[in-house]
Amino acid sequence: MNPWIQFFRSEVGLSWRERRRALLPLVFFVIVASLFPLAMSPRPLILKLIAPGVIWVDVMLATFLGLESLFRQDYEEGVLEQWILSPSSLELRVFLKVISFWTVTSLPLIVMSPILILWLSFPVRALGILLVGLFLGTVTLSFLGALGAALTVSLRQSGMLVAILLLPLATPILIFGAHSALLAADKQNPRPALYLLATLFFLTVGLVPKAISTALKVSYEV
Amino acid sequence: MTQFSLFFHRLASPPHFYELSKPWGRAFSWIALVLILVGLFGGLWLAPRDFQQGNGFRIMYVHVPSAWMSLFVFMVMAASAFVGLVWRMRLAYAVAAASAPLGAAFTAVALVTGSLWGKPMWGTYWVWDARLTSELILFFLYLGFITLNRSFEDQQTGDRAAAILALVGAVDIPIVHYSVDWWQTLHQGSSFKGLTSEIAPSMLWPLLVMMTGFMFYYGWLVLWRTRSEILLRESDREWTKRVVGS
Repeated sequence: MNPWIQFFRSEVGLSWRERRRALLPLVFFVIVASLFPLAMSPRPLILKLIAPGVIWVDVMLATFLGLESLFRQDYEEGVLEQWILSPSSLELRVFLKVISFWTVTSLPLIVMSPILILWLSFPVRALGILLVGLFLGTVTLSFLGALGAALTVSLRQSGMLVAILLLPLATPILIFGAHSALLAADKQNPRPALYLLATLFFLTVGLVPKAISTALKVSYEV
Repeated sequence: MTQFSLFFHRLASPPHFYELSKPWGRAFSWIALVLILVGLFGGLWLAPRDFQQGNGFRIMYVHVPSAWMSLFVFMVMAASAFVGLVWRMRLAYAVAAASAPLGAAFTAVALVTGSLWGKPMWGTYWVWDARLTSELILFFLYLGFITLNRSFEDQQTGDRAAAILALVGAVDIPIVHYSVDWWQTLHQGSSFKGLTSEIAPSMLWPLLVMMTGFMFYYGWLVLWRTRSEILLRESDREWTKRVVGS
């Protein structure tokens, strides 16, 4: 079997074995979304307006908080050092690591979001656009979040720090993502927003693994 | 090696920079003082009242240079981060670390003066205008850089981590600005026309003088702050002990 596929499978397997930690973002996601009707108003008219924003902010926070410790264990156990020393591509390894994280943590969020849509009385016809947007957005956010995790890998208690570093950088994703869903709910054309989101997706997936590898090397002074 | 590149190579050495920056910083400080005084006099005294905004427009003589500097300083930071990461130049990291709080301060001044101007002109301190919003996000980016830079026990790790953040931020700032612009036009027409019409020469020249003055002011402060950053980073070196001891 191709060693990269093997690597990917073992990464997914490792995260799956720690199911509790992988499920935490999901529980967080659902609970936070249920707070908004309580805090604002249960009236469908208001909920409908804020629903995409709530879901997107919620996804952002859940992703960044969950990613904080992405490289922590590998760093402490010296696995990261082996990756850096290894002659095979660090970028590709990072890429697969982030995708494996996404599969275990973000994919469940996307699967869960239709239920939140019902809670927040969002029109079902906009569901498709929301899901496409969430798919593009969560992958992009995962790569950004991994960059934050890589920058702070040698620090303890870095959750807040990662959020402070990344939330401003991630505002374009939030804007395009939430507005594509809003436009779809308003029966307007959501495509421009989705295309822009896709642009960010490709930009991030293409460039950020390089930045993550550089950031990981920083913690080893290479 | 030409005279010119020799000059740069010597500039990159911290002890040499430490010596050179003192007369330069002093010169910059005087130029900045004169320019800002002249600009303030021209802007607050000589320039005529605006026929629509009255005297309120005069806040732009502080606001516009600050807003401009907030972007300029980030460019300086990103450029020094790049130099530091590629050529491993310690001095470049010191310049980036010295610039960040200055940039944050310029951004804060731009935001506050903008709000003060907005109250009488728009009737509110804050609107989610495209420029205001991207300026606010720029401020958050500065805070992130400063926090990350100071978070590590080893200053070199902090420098390099923050340098990566600065480079990513430099790529992201145009995207943020564009996205906020797009978002804004989606909601409402821009309430901010600002300096669309050409400014009368009698109002313009003090602004240009102020902008140049702010540049020199930043130049002076960044040299001064870089000097302390160098001392901090090189505190175990022989030359530092010599300099501080004397």
